[in-house]
Amino acid sequence: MSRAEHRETLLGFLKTIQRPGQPIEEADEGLNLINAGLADSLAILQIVSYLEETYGVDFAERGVDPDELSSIGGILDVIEQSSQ
Amino acid sequence: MTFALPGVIRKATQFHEQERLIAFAQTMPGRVLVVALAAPLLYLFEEGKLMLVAVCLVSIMPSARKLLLSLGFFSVQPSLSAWKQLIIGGPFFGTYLAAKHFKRLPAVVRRYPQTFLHGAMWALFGFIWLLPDEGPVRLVAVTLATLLPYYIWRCGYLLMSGKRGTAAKTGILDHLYYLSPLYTTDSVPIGKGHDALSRRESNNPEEFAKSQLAGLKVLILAILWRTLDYWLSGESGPDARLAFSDPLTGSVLAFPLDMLISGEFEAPLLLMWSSLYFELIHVVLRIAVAGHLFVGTLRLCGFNVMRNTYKPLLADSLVEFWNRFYYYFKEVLVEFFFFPTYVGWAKLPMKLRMFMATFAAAFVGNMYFHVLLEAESIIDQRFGDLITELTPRLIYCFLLAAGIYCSMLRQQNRQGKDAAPAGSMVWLGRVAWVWTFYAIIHIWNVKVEAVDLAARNRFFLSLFGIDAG
Repeated sequence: MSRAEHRETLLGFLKTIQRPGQPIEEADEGLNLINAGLADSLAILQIVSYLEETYGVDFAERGVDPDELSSIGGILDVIEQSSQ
Repeated sequence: MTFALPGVIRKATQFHEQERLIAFAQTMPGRVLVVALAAPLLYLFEEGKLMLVAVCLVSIMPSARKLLLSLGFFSVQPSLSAWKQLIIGGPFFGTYLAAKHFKRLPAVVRRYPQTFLHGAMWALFGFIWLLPDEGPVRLVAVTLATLLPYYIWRCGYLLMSGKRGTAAKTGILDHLYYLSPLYTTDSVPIGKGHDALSRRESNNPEEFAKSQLAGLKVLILAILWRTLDYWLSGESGPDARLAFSDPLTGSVLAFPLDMLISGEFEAPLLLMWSSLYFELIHVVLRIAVAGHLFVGTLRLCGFNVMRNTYKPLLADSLVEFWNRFYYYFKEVLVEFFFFPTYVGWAKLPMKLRMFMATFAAAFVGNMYFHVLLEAESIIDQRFGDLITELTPRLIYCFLLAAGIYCSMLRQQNRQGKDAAPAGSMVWLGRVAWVWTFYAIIHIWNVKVEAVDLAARNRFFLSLFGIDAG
């Protein structure tokens, strides 16, 4: 899958955990979703679980960087790295 | 949750986002003015004088900020002599090498780098216990063991960079400035480590100007909150630390909590509760003032980092208060304890993972952090003193962890639903609960001289009219 396709799939998931009424699909890839109020701090845990289940990312090996997982671009980077 | 401010007030309080001001701050006169405004603000703090030197130097040469801030390695604690700086330099350099060449480390060390780092520190404690009471070896070992707890979490962030691969192409000067920081005296790594600071570092004059203006803003807030705290604590006059009184009627509104717990003052029920809430405000203000000073300095040096404290008294949930009250301490607990536990139990249901991770962070991690602050008791094997000192904290951390976990579960249940609007009765009720919870658990956190656990428990019960003798 291309980065754009991964982004669409990711946005579908993020819409299920975002704060209601927020236009997450318009968010810039570098925008911190939590600081911008688009998601709450619990979202990081759900993003970790999503990446573990959907892409088999082993966070015990790579560690969790909350800043990296707070933006769409950062999450996509993790997805791309895990598929290499 | 934020309240909408009238336009004029908002423009004044958000001056650091005004485009014309940002453009002006990029000019030479603008930069001079920023430093000239920051100087008296920093000078009002004892530790601010050294920070002012750093700010001035970085303002002249912003691109050399890491090098200039690395001078803190030689000056961070004026009472430290040069040879002590050299002693701590050894672990710094060793950690840097481990991070830079992380892939070459044994697999078990790469998997559990923090465990090995802390294991090395505890091995040093154990080594000291076996040494004779005097001698040069003991002197060096004890000096190192006393210093390490202040730096261990910073070294931990450096190892995290190693694990993520971001340290591989760095030099020691990319790390020295935060390992031995000039911009904070807190054992908590304000601004975190290399990865977080690099993301926040200014890369052009506009970003630098924005960062400096944002730094000025929090320094102004630091002075405001310190003034308010002095007034509430009664520290602005000769009768420091006496009861806070209504300035109009002279009626006592609150006593210092430690004096109530120790029995120096007896008070009616209403006054005991008001004292609890005043103490909470005092603690929040104290943490805010210190954090704003450190964050303000970092921002003036071009690292536009997040605030350490951001309106915690407006939080409408226990977990939100915890996020906003002491952000960088929370990040230490989250990155070193919460996430490693959470990802280590990937096969468990999410709620159970959250439970284990929350207790690993808010209970175990919190206790461990404070055990390390008592390094001298560990070195001298005064374990009885350590237990006495930290037993109340056990209760505080347990209640904190339980409260945060329950709050996270409620937050999860509320996802997808609209939040209660700020100012509504529901919102006020939630904020009142948050204040009450943190005010009460602070009974087991507040420093009280020569008082046993039973006295704290008695005070807690007395809040509900129960006389436990």
